[in-house]
Amino acid sequence: MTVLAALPALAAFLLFGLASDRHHEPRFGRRLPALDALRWRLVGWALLATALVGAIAARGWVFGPVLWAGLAMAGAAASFLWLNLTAARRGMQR
Amino acid sequence: MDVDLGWGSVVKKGFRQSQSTLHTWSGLLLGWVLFIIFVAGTAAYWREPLNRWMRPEAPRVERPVLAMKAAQRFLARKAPDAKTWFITVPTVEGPGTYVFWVPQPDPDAPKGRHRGRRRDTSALVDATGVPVARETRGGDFFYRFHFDLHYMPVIWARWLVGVAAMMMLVAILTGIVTHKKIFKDFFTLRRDKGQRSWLDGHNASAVLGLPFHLMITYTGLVTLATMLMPWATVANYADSTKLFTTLFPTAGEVVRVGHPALLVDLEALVRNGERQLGGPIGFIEVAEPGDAAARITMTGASRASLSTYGTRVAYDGVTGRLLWRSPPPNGAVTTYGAMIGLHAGRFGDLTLRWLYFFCGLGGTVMVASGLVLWTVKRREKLPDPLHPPLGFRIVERLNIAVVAGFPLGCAAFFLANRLLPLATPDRAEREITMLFAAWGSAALAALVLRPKQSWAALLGATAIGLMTVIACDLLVLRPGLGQWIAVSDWPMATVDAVLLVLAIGLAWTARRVARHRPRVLKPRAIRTPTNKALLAEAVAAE
Repeated sequence: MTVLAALPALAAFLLFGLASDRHHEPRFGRRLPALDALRWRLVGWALLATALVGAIAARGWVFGPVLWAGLAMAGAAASFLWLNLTAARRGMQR
Repeated sequence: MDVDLGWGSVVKKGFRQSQSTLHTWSGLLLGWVLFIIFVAGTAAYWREPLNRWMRPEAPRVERPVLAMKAAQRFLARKAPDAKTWFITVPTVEGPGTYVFWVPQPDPDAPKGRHRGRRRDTSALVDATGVPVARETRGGDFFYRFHFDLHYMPVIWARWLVGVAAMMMLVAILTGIVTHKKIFKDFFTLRRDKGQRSWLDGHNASAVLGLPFHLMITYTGLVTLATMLMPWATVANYADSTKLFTTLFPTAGEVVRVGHPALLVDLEALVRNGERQLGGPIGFIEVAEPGDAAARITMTGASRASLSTYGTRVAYDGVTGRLLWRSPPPNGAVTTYGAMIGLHAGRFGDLTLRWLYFFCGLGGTVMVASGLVLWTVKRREKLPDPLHPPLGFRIVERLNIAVVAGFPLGCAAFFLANRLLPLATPDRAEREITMLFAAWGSAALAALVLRPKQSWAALLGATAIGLMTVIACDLLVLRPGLGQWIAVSDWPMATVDAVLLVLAIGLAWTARRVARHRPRVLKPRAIRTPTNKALLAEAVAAE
């Protein structure tokens, strides 16, 4: 159950990160149109909401939100590290 | 001190700039205290596992109930006539059962607070009922140090920690205002760009963990609230004992009758208490054990609910009859308890505790990078980089003394735990002395050596110290790391694994610092316009 909360939280922040100009263009070779970026972010928010449902299902109403907040931060940190550390390596190869 | 405080320009530069000034100085002045609070607090999330890891001889608690009964037998031998026994119900995480007892009052004894040494009336009993040999404060040291510090009266320490926490709250809130682009630049890390990289790193550690940082600072202040803001209680309660019994009601005083009687079996009673309270029992108080009037009061474990304060039940200590149940706690107590629970994360299972631990690490990095950023930002603007002003040099060296020095002290603490002979007198205090001796030497090195040398030397020494601890566990300690892995004692092996990861991280950082060649600073005039624009942006973002 915890995994069902952790994965959407991670995916949400990956989407947020990949929707930004800074990380989208180097990876996909083109700018993401503003409307598409909005869509990516909306999906991201929906995933975060899913993670909250999963966390509450896993730990109940009291501890679920605490778990959700923790997983969201962990997802954000993991996305941050992955996006920046792998991007730098690619930049060096170029 | 040739440092521009920026006070004069506050009005001129407007709200954001004033917040920036506040952020810089509230963060800097108590940043050093905040750093050690963060390190100790982060370690304290593993308080019980560390308590056990620092007493490796104690056999693993497989069945807490049996360990508790062993502790009861110990107390019956050691203090059969005590006025009260206190038993902390053991868990599988910890090294055994913490017990302490209050002897019968001696009518001839002089009145005073210090009637006996705490050590004479307390013990840590292992799962077989024997006091644990290795005398140490263990993980409890980090827990107490987190808010009581050391070598100073507790009340001063708590005021200092309270002021630091307030400054932290100020720094967080002004930081959000100051770096208005933090949410926009959420995923930005510009690497190998000097000041920009430090700023991005500081922002990232702050923003990625922002919910935690806000929560931990606010709830941390709440734990000290009755000391920092005593007016509500002082106005309503002349006697603090009365306040305490109002908030945390008890079943009342027990009067000894003088007829000996056998104490009821604790195991069955604990089972009943768990049913009554709907969760595990954390703490048992036995009043007048061995007397016909004996009474047993049980408190629900902190880990059972978000609120750290459990409810209580009291039983007749001879018949085992249920005597009393604490009324449901009022809203204020529950709120207060929930905030402390949220702060300490005692309710957390392993997943949540790891998340808390990583958040704590993030907070530590945030404070450390903020402190370093102060010097990085100013170094680029120094009129003469070879002769920086006194204020700059003080901050630069204090940063090294604290950010690199305190972790070295912690490594020395762990090393002392492994190397000091078990029979050393005052062993627990010696370990702590080693921490401060190593930290003091580090501070001295920071004062004497050039900053770059001392950063690399101290970070490297900490890495070597931690590696030595792991080597001890692997080669000298019996049972040691090899056995823990062989019998799948993962909590013990994990401590070594975490220390290894920290050591590798510190060694890597030390190597980077040692190999770092600062970019040759070009005079401002020939900076390219883009660089200039970048710089202006950086200054504005501050």
